[in-house]
Amino acid sequence: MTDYEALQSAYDIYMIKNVMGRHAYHHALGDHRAELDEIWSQRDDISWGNNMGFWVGRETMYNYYADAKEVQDEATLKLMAKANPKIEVKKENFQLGALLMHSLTTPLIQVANDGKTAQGMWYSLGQVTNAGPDGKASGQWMHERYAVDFIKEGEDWKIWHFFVGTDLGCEAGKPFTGKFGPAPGAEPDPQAEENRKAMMAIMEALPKPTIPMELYHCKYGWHNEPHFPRPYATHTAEISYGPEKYL
Amino acid sequence: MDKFNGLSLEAHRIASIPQIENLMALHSYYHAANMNSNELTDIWSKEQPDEVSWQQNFGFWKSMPHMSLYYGEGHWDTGLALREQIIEARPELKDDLMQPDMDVRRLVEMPVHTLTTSIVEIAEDGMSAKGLWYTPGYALRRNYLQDTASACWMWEKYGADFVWENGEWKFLHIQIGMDIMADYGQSWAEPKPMGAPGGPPPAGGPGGPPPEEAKPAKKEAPVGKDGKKLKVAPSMGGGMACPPDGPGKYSVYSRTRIPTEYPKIPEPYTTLSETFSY
Repeated sequence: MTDYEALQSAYDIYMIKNVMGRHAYHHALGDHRAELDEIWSQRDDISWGNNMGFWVGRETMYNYYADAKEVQDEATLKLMAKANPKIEVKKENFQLGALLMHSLTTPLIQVANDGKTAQGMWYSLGQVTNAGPDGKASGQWMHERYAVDFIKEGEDWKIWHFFVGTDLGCEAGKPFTGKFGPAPGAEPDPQAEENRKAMMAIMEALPKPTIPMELYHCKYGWHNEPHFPRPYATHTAEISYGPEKYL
Repeated sequence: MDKFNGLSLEAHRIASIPQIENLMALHSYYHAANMNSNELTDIWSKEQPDEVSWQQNFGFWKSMPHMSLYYGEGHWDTGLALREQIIEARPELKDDLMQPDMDVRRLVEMPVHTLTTSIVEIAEDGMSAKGLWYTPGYALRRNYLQDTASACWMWEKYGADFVWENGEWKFLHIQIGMDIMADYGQSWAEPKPMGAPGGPPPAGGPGGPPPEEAKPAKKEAPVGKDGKKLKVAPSMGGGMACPPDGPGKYSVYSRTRIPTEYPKIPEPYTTLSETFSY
């Protein structure tokens, strides 16, 4: 590696960290359309993957990652307004009572030898807090692993494929049991159950994956995929964090 | 051995900072996957096998043979025995557990030590480096026999020495100072002993025996769904495969503990032999 290549690689890694930081802050604000426009590749084969599969393509991403979020926010707000008429259903009130941050830790970033792409992995210790229709708020721990392909467009690094594998989700302040729903022996709470069903209905209305598949779980510990980024020459389908690896 | 000078030295020192960050992240990911033996082979010094060391709250291990026994080995045996027990107790999981890509080492637990708050100092001669991190981490543990799961926080400091060997950075020493170990839903200010009611479950496997200050109140054999006790896998529950070469120098939070600078905060330095070592 020449001195120039060494310095370029260090600079690229710093810039890639910044791109991911921008993602985290956009995501915390629910500002997903701006995120897609500003820090994602202009290519048509961008993708989002998670435990359930891949959402592929630019229009799909606008529908799933940007617009569906607003639909979800509006539906949630309507439920809250139903329980509390003082709440006005308008765009400015979307995400009322929401607070989320998927922090970025443990960066492992490899820039391809050809300098055109990069692969990164982060571990996110995150929290997702929402107010529910009953006016109560609840916070959830959300621990996830990110694996991301980046591509250089002009002078800028852009997100190409984004994979999120969720390892742990549980209510803050409560023990993790690996199971959802009320704790064994808990008193039945019809209102909580109704709210849960309403929220599930909203989630189920989100666009389904373009390629549904069980990509990730941690029921047997650390999942084999996605692989750790390792030094590489050039991007190939075999090492992609996008769907091409599975097609 | 590479030698750097002039602008090449400065380019090397700048480029080394993200390389060190990557190396440390690789340690975290290997460890989370219980690939400790891969870690020791891939990213630790090969040229100084007698000098490498590992130190944490409850001991100090020096030399690669001792580190291998303590930190690197045992996950396969533990995982294989555990898999046998699980299949015996829950035959419905057999197909999953016998898949060719099933890495049984991962059945033991999933210890995720995230990396934040880094300080990295590259020596002026470019041949060594020091780093300090804070790791808000957690361990996810499943009891497949009883179909339950738990998670506990593990917040620690990492201090490490690195050496430049044959064109790559490698680990030489690591010090780990654990501040917090507490079950989710429990305050770290009033931690309960591992294994005690309400406390985090015993650490599983050779990733580390339970610290002295948090040993299980009583070690119980796992119980299957039919209520019968099952055999314990060889190193589950903290069997110490290699006694420490020295004592640990740090303890988890308590009301009587005073904060100490451990591991030390890295400072700019010229060459490794002229400064402190982790």
